[in-house]
Amino acid sequence: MIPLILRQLRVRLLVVLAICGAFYLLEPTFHVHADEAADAAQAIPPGEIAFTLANLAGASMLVLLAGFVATDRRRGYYRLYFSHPTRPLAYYALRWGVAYGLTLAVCAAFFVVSQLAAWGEIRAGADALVQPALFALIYGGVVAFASVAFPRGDSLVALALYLVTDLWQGFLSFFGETGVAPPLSPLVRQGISFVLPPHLALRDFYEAARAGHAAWGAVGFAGGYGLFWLAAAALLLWSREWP
Amino acid sequence: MIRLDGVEKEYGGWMARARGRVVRALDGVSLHVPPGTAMGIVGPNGAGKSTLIRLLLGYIRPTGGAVRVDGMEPRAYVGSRGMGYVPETVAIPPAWSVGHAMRVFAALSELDAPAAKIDGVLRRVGMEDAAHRRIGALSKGMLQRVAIAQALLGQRAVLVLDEPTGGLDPEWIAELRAIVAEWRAADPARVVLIASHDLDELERTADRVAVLEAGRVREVIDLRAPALRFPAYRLEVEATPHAGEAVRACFPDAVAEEGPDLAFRVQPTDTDDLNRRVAELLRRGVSVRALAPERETLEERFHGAVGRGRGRKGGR
Repeated sequence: MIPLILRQLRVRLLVVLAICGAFYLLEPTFHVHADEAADAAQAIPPGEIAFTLANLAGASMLVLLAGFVATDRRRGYYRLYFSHPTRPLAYYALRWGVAYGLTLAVCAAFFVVSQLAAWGEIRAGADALVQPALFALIYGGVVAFASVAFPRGDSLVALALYLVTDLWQGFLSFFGETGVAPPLSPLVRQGISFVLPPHLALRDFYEAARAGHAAWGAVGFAGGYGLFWLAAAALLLWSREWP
Repeated sequence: MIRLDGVEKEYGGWMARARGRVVRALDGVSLHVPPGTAMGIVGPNGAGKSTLIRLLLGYIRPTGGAVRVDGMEPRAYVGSRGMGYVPETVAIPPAWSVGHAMRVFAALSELDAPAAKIDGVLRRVGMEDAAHRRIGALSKGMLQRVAIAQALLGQRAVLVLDEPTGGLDPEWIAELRAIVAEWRAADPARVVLIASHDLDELERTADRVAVLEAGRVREVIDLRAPALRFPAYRLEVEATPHAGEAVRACFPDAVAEEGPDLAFRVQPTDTDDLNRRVAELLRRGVSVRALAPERETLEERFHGAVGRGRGRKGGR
């Protein structure tokens, strides 16, 4: 089954590779030339590419998983699939797993190739791959739930959530840096931060790694967030009738 | 093999329930399909045929009552053993090739040596040269044949055909009949369910037919059972001057047909009675051109069952 799923994903994989190219062009860290590399390495730590990789992982999951349950439900493809001895949960778990594996493979390849292309050597440590793995889990979980819950637009829901989270962080940073009192109570702010994808947890992990220790709590929270939406998607898939 | 006991199915969530807009698709359906049966399901539009099939495949759950396939919940049965299924509307991703679609279905069935089985079923439906063709480029009839081919993959005990002749030309309708007969002959315990509006086709394929109307089983017609009463006959005689008079003398209840032939509908009580009256007719010098029993067609019985149902509904 896996080779057949990979074959179905080949066009989407090309889109992901195009996104890789775009990320390489847009990430300033990769465009510091050899003669200024020593200074640049100080100014922009190589570990920063972990955030580029994380965004790439999220984008890859959105592309590879778009409509993976919703389209089957809406267009009725499931009728023939599940007349064969297959459990829907196992089938979609496999498809999700293939997308996740493919995303990690693309991120690992990008991690190596982009650094060699930019600097001729690997500067960032392998811990830069933890954030993309978590980001793929977070947004993979969100897309999975949206794909089961809604008839279309699952990846757009996840993208909207990403943008809202980014805006929310900008909102928090603004009040944090200016010292102006934010309009919302601390409890509400914490509640919203808890519900939105935990981008800050990944930042905590990165900062802890730079300081030489591991922030396992942040990793657990970020991973738990993705697993929560995956479990919710599985429960909804199991309990919902087919249209 | 398949047993439905007092099955009810309502559509509509709590909002619809609160507004009193629940749609009751099945209303206390009880049906038993023993092994080796070809069961037809007929009914007017909206009678509940599609709901019944979706329940059997486990795509929806009953609101009340129980559905069992070989003693199991339908989803558990289909998930472990599979059912051959040809839906009314065949949906396969249009960008796939026929070969890729068949490989996917074979992989879902976890078949051993799938390539040989795929070749075999595609050959059986006359699609062996179409493996490279895109699903989106197929005609409706060819798509229907792909759906039939995937239903034949794997050794299933139950085959569910929902309007299977839709889009098929007369040649392939006959071929489908042969395919179903072969499929049944391979294992006499196999069960086939056919939902169709084509009553002539059902009469040729099914052993029993359940007539559904307004979510209820109005009648289960056993097409293989002998007729309950001796049939009426169509009697045609040479048109001589006294032939009509002789027929009426021998068959006092004969009803003359309209048309150019001198033909009557007669109702003997049994075979002896028929032979005695025909002998008397011949003795009177009447030449018999044809004598054929009139069978009540499925269509007549279907309209009878539905009409009775409507009569009951009107009486309430």
